[in-house]
Amino acid sequence: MSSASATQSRPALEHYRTVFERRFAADPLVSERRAALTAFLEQGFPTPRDERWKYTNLRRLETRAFVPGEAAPIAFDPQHAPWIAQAGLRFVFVNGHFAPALSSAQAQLPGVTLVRLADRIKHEPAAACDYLSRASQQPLSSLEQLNAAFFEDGLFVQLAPGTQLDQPIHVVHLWTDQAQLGMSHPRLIVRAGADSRVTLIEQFISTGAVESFTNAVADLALERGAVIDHYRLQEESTKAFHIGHARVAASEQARYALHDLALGASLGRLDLTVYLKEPRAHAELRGLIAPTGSQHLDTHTRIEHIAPHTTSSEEYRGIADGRGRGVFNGKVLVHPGAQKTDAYQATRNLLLSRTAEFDAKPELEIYANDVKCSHGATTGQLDATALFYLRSRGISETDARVLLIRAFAQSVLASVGNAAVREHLDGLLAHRFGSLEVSP
Amino acid sequence: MSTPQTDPTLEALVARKYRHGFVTDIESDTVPPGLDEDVIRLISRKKREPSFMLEWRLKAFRHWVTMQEPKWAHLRIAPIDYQAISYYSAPKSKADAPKSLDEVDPKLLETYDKLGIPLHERARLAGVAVDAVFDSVSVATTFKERLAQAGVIFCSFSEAVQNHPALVEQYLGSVVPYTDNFFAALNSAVFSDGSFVYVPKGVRCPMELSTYFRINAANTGQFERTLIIADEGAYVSYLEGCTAPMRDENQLHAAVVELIALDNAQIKYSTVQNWYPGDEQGRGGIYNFVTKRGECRGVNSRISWTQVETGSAITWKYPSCILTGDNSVGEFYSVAVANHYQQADTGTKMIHIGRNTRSTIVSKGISAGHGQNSYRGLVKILPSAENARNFTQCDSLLMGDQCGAHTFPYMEVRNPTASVEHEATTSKIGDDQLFYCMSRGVSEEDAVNMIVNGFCKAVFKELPMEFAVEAQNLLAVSLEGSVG
Repeated sequence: MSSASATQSRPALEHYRTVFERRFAADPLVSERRAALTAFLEQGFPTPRDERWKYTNLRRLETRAFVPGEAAPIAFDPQHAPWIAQAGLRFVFVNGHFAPALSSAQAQLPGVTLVRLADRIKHEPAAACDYLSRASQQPLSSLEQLNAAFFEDGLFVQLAPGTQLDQPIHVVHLWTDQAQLGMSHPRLIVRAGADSRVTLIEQFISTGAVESFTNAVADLALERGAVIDHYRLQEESTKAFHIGHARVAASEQARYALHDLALGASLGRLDLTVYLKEPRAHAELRGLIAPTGSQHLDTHTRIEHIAPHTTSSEEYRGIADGRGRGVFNGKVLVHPGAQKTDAYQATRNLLLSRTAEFDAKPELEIYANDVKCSHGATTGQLDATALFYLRSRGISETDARVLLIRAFAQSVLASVGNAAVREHLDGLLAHRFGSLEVSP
Repeated sequence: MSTPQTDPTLEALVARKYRHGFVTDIESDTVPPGLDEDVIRLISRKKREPSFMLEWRLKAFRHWVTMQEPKWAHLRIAPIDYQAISYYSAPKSKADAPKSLDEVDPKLLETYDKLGIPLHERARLAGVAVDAVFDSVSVATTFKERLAQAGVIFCSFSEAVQNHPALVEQYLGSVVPYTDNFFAALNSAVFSDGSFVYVPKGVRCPMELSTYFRINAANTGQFERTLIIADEGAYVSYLEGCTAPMRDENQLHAAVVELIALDNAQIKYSTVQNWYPGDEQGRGGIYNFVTKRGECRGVNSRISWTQVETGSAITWKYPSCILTGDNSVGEFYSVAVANHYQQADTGTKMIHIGRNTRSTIVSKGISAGHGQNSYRGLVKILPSAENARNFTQCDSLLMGDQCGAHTFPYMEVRNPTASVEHEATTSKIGDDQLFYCMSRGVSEEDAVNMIVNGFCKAVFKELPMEFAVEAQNLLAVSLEGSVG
């Protein structure tokens, strides 16, 4: 990022500096925060001149003067909450602030440490830094620095070796309709001990159509043999701005699985990096990117095969409708010496309207020779012969299209293990892509 | 982890020195290094160009000074001092340019002999017209008469500027404008010579046109410009091949090639590129920063690029097709080799604008030694490109555990009736394949050769016959024994 881009957005950057001074001048972590702020101000917001942001322009985000969201009472019956109901340990953050009344956390689970970051900063600022350690030492992007400067709350999860948590940890980030121009920079930090197992559900939702700004960081570390099933459901309102970052470091024989759903937000972007740093670590990524209206949804994944004998498999699908624009950039990087790497990546995209656009960029960067890496990418419309087949069996065109679109979307979610999540996703897809008028 | 196999004879082959390294001692008429408007005026004056050319060069130069070198490629490039390059070098020509081979400096002809291009022989036997560019000025053009009978104009760019200024003014920069990129702008400002082809309406060019480029005078960057126009219903096949003598300093080579195909026209452009790649330690070698682009301007037109890239220390090259005309077809077939410390960032762009446009991309990358080979391609479907089709296949072959193979495909689709497919694989030569061949008495050397040739077959079959043979030999020389 050149200094030129930083100058361009100077007023926007000044805004963040002002908000910072007002809010964090007396904060216990002010020096750490200030370092992050300085790094952010130096780099500025990424611009399309930056190769990684070629397809996504943050101009609209920059020009809005977001301020930290304020806690608000919620105006609905928690019995009919928009989140996945019986999902397990639930932590609800409303406009960026923890809402104990809506959360359901058991007091103590053996082998599990659950710490709310805001709590810790307030009561034990000296120890708070321990919870902010990072799974990788790679340099942070400017928006991650922004998060590090402004984060106020979030969750730290530690699993002792061998802990098998049978109920998922469900983190809900909710924007209410009072949150116009509110911003939140939540963090989720997970340290999964050897042979532990946990399911994480991150859900980002809105109850009002407001311009909010989420800039969420997830930092996951898997020790030897640990297993994390990660669900990331981005269902914010179509006025919202959503930026997500996830970094995952997997040790020997650890297994990381992601189900990623990008449905909401006016402008959405996820940057996910998986470091397979020891032999036999495995990553499995499944995702759906479905922009409609004038949504712009961008997902960048990066899988780094650092050690030999690591494997990854990735499948992302895109369905773009209306004037929506979808972007998928998946990179597989095989480091020197990471022999016997086996990596597969596929992206298949569907354009449903004349004004929709999908930009796909599956990348391979390989520095070892004894590897098996391949990727495939397709973009097109619904298969005319399949449509014809269904029509010839007396299925209406609308139903036939719904069937084919749902089937296309479903295959990404076929591997969803958690029943509550599956039911929720089914509902979401039915809502977005329609359901059959008559059951066959 | 596999351990690199070593075999003395194979090592010897891998370490084989560049065979075409020698410097011909010819007095060059060279301007001092450096670039400013005066140098451009000088080049233009020396070439006695009409004023529109000088104006165009100056506009390009003024734009170039505002630009920065592109940084996005997956390449490590030592900084280039553009003021240390001499921008004009012409073999000492007595009075006027020679009109036939007899008038050509015998030393020059000797050079071609060393390269294995017996000019007149090849011209007669193979029926190929050769427009040999020695450094910057065309010194021999053959078969002009036969082509003239068909109405085909095939001459050096300077001659075209003198004799066909209207055509040059109409088409120059219409596919690659001088604002296009850093190296194209530089080329537009200082290009010295190149080839010009015009095939008139309905004419099928009676022979394959060929040009051999050769960089010679030390410290002279070479900036060719090629412009090929196929008028309605015309067909032309153009071959370009290069070798360069051995030297220690990096040499900049920034060419521009523009192709224009009007209604129902077809252009086939084949390249075998074998510039000096640097030595085994990566010292020296040519920087090959080329802008090649063709526009299928007319309906049912077709442009196909075939390239075999074995040379150059650094290759930065994206032969592209703009598919403007309805039903037009763009094709790109490429074999790129990066051995020792070579770096290649090459690929194509297919811009679909017209209805029913189709494109095919087949790219084969081979990396060996410490070579880094990247495929970078863009397939762009604009909203107007109804029923556009693209198929892309890029495969990489890795030989040795120090090399790299990378794929950066961009797919931008803005029309729902379009269908875009991309596949890529990366692998090494299978131990089982080698074992199979060797168990049947085929030497490891031959087995590797066979497998590599099989890997590249889809591209080689697109090359004209004589080029295909040359390409296979070239590949064998560049790669044999690199299996690791």
